[in-house]
Amino acid sequence: MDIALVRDLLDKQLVDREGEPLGRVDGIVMSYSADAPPRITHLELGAQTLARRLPNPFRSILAWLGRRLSPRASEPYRIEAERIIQLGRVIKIDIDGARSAARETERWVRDHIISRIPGS
Amino acid sequence: MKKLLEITLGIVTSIGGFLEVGSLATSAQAGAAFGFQLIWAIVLGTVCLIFLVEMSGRLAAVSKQTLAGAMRDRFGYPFFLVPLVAMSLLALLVMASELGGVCLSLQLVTGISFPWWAPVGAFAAWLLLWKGTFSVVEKGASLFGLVTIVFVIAAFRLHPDWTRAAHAALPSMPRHEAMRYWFFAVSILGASIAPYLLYFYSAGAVEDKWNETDVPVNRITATLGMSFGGVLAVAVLIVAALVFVPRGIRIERFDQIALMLTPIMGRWGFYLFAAALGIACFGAMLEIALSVAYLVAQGFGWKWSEDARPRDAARFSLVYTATLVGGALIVMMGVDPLAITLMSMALTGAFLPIAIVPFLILMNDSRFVGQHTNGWISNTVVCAIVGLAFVLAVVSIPLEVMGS
Amino acid sequence: MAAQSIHLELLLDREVRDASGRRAGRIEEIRARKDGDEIIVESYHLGPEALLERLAAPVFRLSPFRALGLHKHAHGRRAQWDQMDLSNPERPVLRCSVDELVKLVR
Repeated sequence: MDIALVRDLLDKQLVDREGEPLGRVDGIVMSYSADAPPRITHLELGAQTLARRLPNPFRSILAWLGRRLSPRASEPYRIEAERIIQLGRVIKIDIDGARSAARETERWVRDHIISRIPGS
Repeated sequence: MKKLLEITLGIVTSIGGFLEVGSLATSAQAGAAFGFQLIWAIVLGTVCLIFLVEMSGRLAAVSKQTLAGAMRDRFGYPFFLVPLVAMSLLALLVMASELGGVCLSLQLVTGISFPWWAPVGAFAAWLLLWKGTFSVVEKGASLFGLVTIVFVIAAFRLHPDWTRAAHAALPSMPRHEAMRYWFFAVSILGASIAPYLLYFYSAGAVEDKWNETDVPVNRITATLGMSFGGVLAVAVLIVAALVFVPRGIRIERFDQIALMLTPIMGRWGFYLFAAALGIACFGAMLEIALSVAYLVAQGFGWKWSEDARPRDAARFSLVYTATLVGGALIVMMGVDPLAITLMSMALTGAFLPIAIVPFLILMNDSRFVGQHTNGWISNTVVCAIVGLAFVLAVVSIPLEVMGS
Repeated sequence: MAAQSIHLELLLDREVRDASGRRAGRIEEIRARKDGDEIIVESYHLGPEALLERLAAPVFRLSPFRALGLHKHAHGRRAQWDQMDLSNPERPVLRCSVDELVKLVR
């Protein structure tokens, strides 16, 4: 099956086993060596990944913001390429989203900000 | 029968958020300053909006993606930041204008000065988004928004020269104050062609799970709904022209506009104006807050859903909350609501290409809309009107700013 | 030889030259095939140099402009995986000469 990685994989929406959103493909990591075709190893998500795609000086500003908004030292979140179940309008990943680290920022915002407001 | 109900609902929901402070202020000022002459700007703006809203629904129905999501998908990441940041900042300004409209209407009715109402108005809007569902918000705002029909009634009561009004639907050159004329023209275009409506509409279509069979119905609801909004704006302009021009009144402040219905309906006119202003602006506030949240959440792939409880779409809820707070802060700084309204409408006109050009590219890409790509008429009409708005904005905004 | 981890999204828009320094284009798309569970890169599409041409390409495909024939202007080249040397990802180099690359017509 033929894939155009920029058109069909990069920046596409990711969903978990249940179809719930996980984020977008912010980066794609491949393993390169001179004597074999490169292999895609991981998909990457996160503010740091996005920040690196910007030209300087925006890169530094966003990296700073990313570290402030994410609770931990925002390591990019990686998904092994083998976990890709389906490519299409959205990319389906074999992950239990509820417990996944991909949703960490969402959970943090929920627990530290949203839950503190009544009626949520 | 079900289709008929669907269509009626669609039209009704398209009304709320169209006549809002932008259309009201720009149409009233244009009528007071230039009589019927600027009706063509409302016509052009409405026509363009009809095309754009229809496209927005078609994109959602066929690609099953929202406009914001499709933009990130198609154009990738650094590029997506350009419309994201530009439209969000613009939306914040427009939000402040709408909140200003709500505050003014409360000031008209109670006499309590308007900046005090800002936290109240913002809180009320926030509460509705926090606790309500998408359908409640959409339908509620629209049904209550029907009070704006009072302007149409007023226009008829004044027995305008309908032939003259019809002639004004064609563009004409100004006979005096040319720069002001073109500034009003671009403000009217920016007020009619509101990009936030497109993000809102496509998100609603996706949340309602539209598919290809909804494309024809969408065409009807987009046309009728947005046309109704255009009719309302024209009515406001006609009333303003016939009430203010003979009295030689030049509109400098918002509370002057508030008197436009009184010569026709007496005391009731005043209260009806306040009600129409407040309700229409409140509806717009809800839509704008949601639009910014849609833009951000969909662009970054977060969970977004007005129907979900806030804790289940945490970052999405945070964004619309922040937008409302931001708007409230701007209003509380005491900016002149009329000035900020006119300027944000004109700036919208200037920034339209940033929102619309990527949108047009998407609508011609069969990977997104399959067989339903744009015909040459849609492309040409939208390009021409957006191009016009941009040129007018670039020319008239600096001059207006320098002149005032 | 040890394998390197390279970020695909950072390769985009990087200029590619051949050994003699001649320009081959900018990396625009990377084609791969799915082989069971694995995704293997096959080729790199290099697009036109000029920034204006690259930005304008999608706009020119819109119908008002199509009539002017402007959309046929853009072109590209394809480099197979073994023709591309990414040992320094910031400076991709061709292992062959520019002329050996397959030309692509839009």
